[in-house]
Amino acid sequence: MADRRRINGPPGSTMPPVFEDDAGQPEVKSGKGRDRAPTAIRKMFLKTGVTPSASGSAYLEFEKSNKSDVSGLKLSCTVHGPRSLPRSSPFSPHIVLSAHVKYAPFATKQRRGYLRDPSERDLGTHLETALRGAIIADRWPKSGVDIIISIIEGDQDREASKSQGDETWDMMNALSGCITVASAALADAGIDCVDTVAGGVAALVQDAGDDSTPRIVVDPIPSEHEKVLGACCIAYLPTRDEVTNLWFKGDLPASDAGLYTQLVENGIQASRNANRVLVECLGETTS
Amino acid sequence: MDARPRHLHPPHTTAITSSLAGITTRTNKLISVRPLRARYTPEVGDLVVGRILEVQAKRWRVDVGSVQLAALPLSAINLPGGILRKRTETDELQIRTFFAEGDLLVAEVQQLFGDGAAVLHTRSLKYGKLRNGVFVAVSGMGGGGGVVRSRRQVWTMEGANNAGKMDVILGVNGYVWISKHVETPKEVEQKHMGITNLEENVSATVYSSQNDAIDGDTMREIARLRGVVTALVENGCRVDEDMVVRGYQEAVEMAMLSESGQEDIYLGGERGEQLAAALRGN
Repeated sequence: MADRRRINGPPGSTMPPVFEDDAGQPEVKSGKGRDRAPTAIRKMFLKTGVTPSASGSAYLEFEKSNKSDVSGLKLSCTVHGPRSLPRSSPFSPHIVLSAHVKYAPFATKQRRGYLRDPSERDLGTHLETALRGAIIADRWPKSGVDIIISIIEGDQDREASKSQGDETWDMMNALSGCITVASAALADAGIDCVDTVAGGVAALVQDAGDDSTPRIVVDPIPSEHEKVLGACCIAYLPTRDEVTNLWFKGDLPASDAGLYTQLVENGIQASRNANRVLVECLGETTS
Repeated sequence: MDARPRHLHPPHTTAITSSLAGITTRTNKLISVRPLRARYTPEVGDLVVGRILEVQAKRWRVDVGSVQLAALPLSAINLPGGILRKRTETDELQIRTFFAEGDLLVAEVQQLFGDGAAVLHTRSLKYGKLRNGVFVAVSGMGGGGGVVRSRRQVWTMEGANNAGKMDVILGVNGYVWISKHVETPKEVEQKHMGITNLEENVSATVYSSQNDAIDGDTMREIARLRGVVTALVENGCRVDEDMVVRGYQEAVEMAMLSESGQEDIYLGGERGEQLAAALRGN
């Protein structure tokens, strides 16, 4: 895809070098590190009906981290449908769900292409699975619904160098946001669901310092911790107490067998919190 | 957005400057700008008017006012001598006899490439080369003005003041074509006979670049209609069938009242505003 005929600039933004004074100022570390409780998620802003031309739409924003250089997550979702399937497609007794997730070219440190890359497809597949469990699919035979999410701003530490941080952990947060915003947009489009589905992330993190033991936090921001050992993203239906999608990644220490269950439980808790925002937002629109 | 030019900002400001002129909306911390004018984004099924810019071995590149040039493959046009004929090498060699650089055509968007470029087709008698008329490019979408997608974008209307019928094609891409009405092969067929005759007729005229004779009255009314379209755009009105037809009637009446009578086709400036005001009032 790269344009090989011209000399291109670097694909991502670069930072000019900043040299420290001789005086040796104390290292600015105070802002670094998590200042929320381990079970508290960031504040969210959710609004439905932001795109008038779509049948349903929603906009979700995660609050900016107190560590100033991590931007908040901004997502916009549009739902088109239910609409009739194209002639060429085979008969389907259920609604055909298709989810597209796309990062805006400027959403992350590394500039994204205009075509969807494998990680974006991956997000789309996970999202589709998460929503399929919530939609009452047999109410609309022979029809399809398109869910399109654009990630306007990913929550990434823009100041961190390219080598720092692993994109997979950012993807977890992005997916949980995608699930919540898509659920709100589906409700806005008036597509029947058994329940509102929201996403939540829990991670096992290791903080800076030699003596710290790994601990579980919800809604992690990777750059606030020394290392992320493992994380899971969960899509959860609170009133039915069902998990529609679970994505786990990382290595857990083998010593503690209950760690995995704890991580999932924390993820569910995070998802419940997100769901509260979602329900409140939908309540506001109907009243 | 801040209206001051960029260079007036002090270098270390945190103010956000838009690189696009338009109406801003704010959702919490997301600021979006709806542009006053934007380039056309093709969608499958759109009726567009375009101009051939480039002739390649098996296809043409067409300017449709989009970010990229649209492609018109040789296999997507009606070849002379039978509507459903396979294309051959001979056709490839004489590709310029169908469309050459600078030709105007009306087509439909058949398909979109992954990057948003359009593929056109003219496989219908409704589409094809344009002649006997005048081309107007109005700014595309955005800001409420310009051509909007509607039920009918091609129609024939009666000209006032002894003029003949006129055809209007409103391309979704903001390109408009106004021409003298030429009887379509269907109408000819009804008058005469025979489907074979029709095909010969098609091959003879469809790719001709020669204008028919147009009488002065029709020319004047075509120019008036063009004035109506530009006046609508200048005053931020929608351009659709209803507005254009009403605008034309209004313009004819306005001309009657002016000193030079029906010859007065000027619709710029104040007269344009007057026209738009009259249309809004209705």
